[in-house]
Amino acid sequence: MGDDRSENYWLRLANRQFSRRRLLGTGIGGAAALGLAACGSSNNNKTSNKPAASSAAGAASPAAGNKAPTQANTGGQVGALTATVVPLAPGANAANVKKGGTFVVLNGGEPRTLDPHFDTFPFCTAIADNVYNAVMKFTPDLTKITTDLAVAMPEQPDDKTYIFKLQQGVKFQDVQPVGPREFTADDVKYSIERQATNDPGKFQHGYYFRDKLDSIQVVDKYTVKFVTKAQYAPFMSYIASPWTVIVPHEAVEKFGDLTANAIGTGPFIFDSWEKNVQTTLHKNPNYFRKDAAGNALPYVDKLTIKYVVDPQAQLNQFVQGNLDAGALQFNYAKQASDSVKGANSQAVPSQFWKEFRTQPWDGQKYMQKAPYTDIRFRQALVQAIDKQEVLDTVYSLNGKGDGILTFGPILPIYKPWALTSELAGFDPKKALDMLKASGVDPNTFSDQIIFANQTSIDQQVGEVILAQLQKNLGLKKVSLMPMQLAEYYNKTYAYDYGMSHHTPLNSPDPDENLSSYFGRTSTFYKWGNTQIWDLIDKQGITVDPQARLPIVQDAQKMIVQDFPMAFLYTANLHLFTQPYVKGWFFPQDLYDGRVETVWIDK
Amino acid sequence: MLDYIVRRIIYALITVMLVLIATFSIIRLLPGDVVTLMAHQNNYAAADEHLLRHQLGLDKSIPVQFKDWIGGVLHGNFGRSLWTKQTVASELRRRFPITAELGLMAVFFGVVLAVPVGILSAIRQDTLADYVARTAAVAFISLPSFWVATLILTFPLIWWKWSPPLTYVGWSHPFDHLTYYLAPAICLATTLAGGVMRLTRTAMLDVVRQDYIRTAWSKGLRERSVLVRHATKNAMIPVVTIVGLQVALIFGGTVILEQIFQVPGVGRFFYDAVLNRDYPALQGVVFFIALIVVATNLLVDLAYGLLDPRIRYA
Repeated sequence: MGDDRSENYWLRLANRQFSRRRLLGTGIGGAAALGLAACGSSNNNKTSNKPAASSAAGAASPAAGNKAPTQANTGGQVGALTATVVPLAPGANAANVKKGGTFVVLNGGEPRTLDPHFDTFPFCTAIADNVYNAVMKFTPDLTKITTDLAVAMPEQPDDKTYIFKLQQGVKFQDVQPVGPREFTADDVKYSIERQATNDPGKFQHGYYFRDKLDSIQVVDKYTVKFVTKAQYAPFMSYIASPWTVIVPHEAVEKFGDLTANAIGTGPFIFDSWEKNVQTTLHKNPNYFRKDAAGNALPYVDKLTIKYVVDPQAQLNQFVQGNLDAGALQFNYAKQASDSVKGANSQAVPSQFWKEFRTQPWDGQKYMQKAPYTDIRFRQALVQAIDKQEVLDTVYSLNGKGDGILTFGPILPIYKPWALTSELAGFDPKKALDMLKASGVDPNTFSDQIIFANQTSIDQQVGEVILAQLQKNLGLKKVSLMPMQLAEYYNKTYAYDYGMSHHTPLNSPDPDENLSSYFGRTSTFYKWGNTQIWDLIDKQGITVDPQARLPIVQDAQKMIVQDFPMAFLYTANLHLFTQPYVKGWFFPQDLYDGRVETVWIDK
Repeated sequence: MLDYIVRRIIYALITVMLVLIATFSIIRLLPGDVVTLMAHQNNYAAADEHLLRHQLGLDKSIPVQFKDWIGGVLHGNFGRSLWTKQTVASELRRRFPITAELGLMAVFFGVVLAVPVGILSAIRQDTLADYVARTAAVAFISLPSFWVATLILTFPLIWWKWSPPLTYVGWSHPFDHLTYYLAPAICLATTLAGGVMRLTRTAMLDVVRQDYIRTAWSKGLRERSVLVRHATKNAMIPVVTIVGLQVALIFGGTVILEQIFQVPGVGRFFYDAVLNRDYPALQGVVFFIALIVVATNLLVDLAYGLLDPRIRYA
């Protein structure tokens, strides 16, 4: 950003006053010289942040720069001292890279704490992605797993053992109490064990590895071996999760937790978190990753993450140039494009998607109430909903729904796991037939559709769904019940509702989307069909992707055809950057917010 | 006068105690439980909920929780946020100056706008200026400040690609700092100004018809002297009182306006605490605001007593 506020007005004023005092003693000519010198000094301070033109000299070709280490092509370099090469964004040329400046990125919400292992809000990852590294990480489009602190994909002598060779010479940020200590395999063991804790109140990502690992062994300083109790298919996805980052034990021991502090090996060093305003970070001069041309990363000197919750305020900030990048609400996308000439934008399906649920049950403590026990009634509800119409009506952009439909519990963005065709699509005739077959009288059936009313969009979605149920099934006594989030969770956690429309998170690994909602160990939503549980368990212990795929697909088909819910759609996020922002990977939602390759070209 | 002061202070303390009890109990009557909310958002197993409840101290009886909280408050400890684990006192220390500054600027703008216009409206009664001023006053009272705020954010951006600044800037950059406050302060000031404008006009009309004003005219004093020295001074007594009593209104107004203009003040803290059922934070904020409102009212009462002996001895 051009407006660098690092220089305090009062300090500038004090400096100027100092110059004036000198002015009295040295005469106007001398004062003018001093004034110029002062200005020059000030300017020098600013320009010193900018790159020398030669900084990018010797850069590799763009093609070389774009070569990403992936599951398929990463290998070798075990224990190498050389830094990891980071690919540039598509179309970026390492020779043109400019260094310095501040990159200001929008966060539409604020983390509750900074602890990456235990915070629940995805907004936490915008900081964690830039302060910490994980052993592995997802590419920004979430389609591949690549190396981060590991030098290669793990060796797997058998289906339960993963041996990671780690980068040598990686230093934690030079911040007390950790200092520039070297990162080792002990840190990996400590971090994973911390994340998998069984302490009450610290469960958020514990399910990744709690009770799943037989051991974590530190083989040597740069080698760590994980042995799972059974075959564990999501292991690699969870190791690459943005919440499975490596933290230094000294920080936890000193601060008691990491709720207000962040020290890692990542590209940026945490400075401050000004609640409701912004988090500021500055460049880690010892960061271990470099670009293909050998340039040290990150390119920018400072990173500011601004918290702007109101969608109109987000637009205003972007148009005013106070934000360099961020996701804007769909109905502001056109105005943003029209107002900021040359702005780069991309529509990306969100990981937060929409479903219409019927009452959950676990087969033991919680049972469904009639008529939700009748599959024909559930089918009637599901097939009476025209998801395309919901999308087109609520998310209308240029007369078309701004998003993609989903056909099962895994979003189509996660290929090849997702179902690609409709098994329980909109069919009003079939829906009405099923309603008649279930014996439910549409004139007397009475219930509510509950939902968390966090934005006006939630209300609109509810209204369209309600209108469809009334029109296609004649359900006259169904009504909407908007609730505050706390009240809504109170209801849903107790399975105390008939219908709801809900916005869950979809993640890259199938297990996270299946187990969390339809599996044996799911908690806040559960579907008590044990045949589905068995299939989900089976896919979770099938590590061969080829063998796992049909099981995942079968599990989804079984879920969809049991009609627990209508799987609706995911709306697009509209990711914008100012024209001068280069090297930006448009990330899939909030899953990868690392900005080490961004530079400011102005 | 001493009796009067002691009486008012006792009333204030009783009010504060009632606010404490009401705050504590009403928050817990809100539908939605913080433990359930946390459990859902943290993937806890249902069986672990009671552990969490115990850890947060919410398994104790309500009277015991109240006693613990009061004990803390009396020692200046408002507790810690259940979510962020930060002390409520530190959050209030950081945020109150921001909200107070917004409130003071709103009062300043409101009074600067309302008092002269109210006086003008009174001394030019039933003229065009009076009609315009009265219409404006009703409009200011009628238009919700959040709606005005939305218009300020929306239309200038469409027409001129301009927006009021929306990033809080501290006093290290005084010009930017003051500029940042302008839009929310003006929005907040409009509602205040409407009421004060009408009250000023009414008070002024009442005063200018008094015998001593007629005497002042008959003595041949200049208009300026009559209006400023004799009329306005006396008309301002109820106006000052009302402005003081607007503190609660201003704090209420900041809750929404701080959301819209991204002001990191007490209002946003309060809003987040309500949504998250963050009991200690909510209790702390409400209690703190209640203290300020009660203290302001007390000061107004005392000042009123000083200004008007009839009240002192009533």
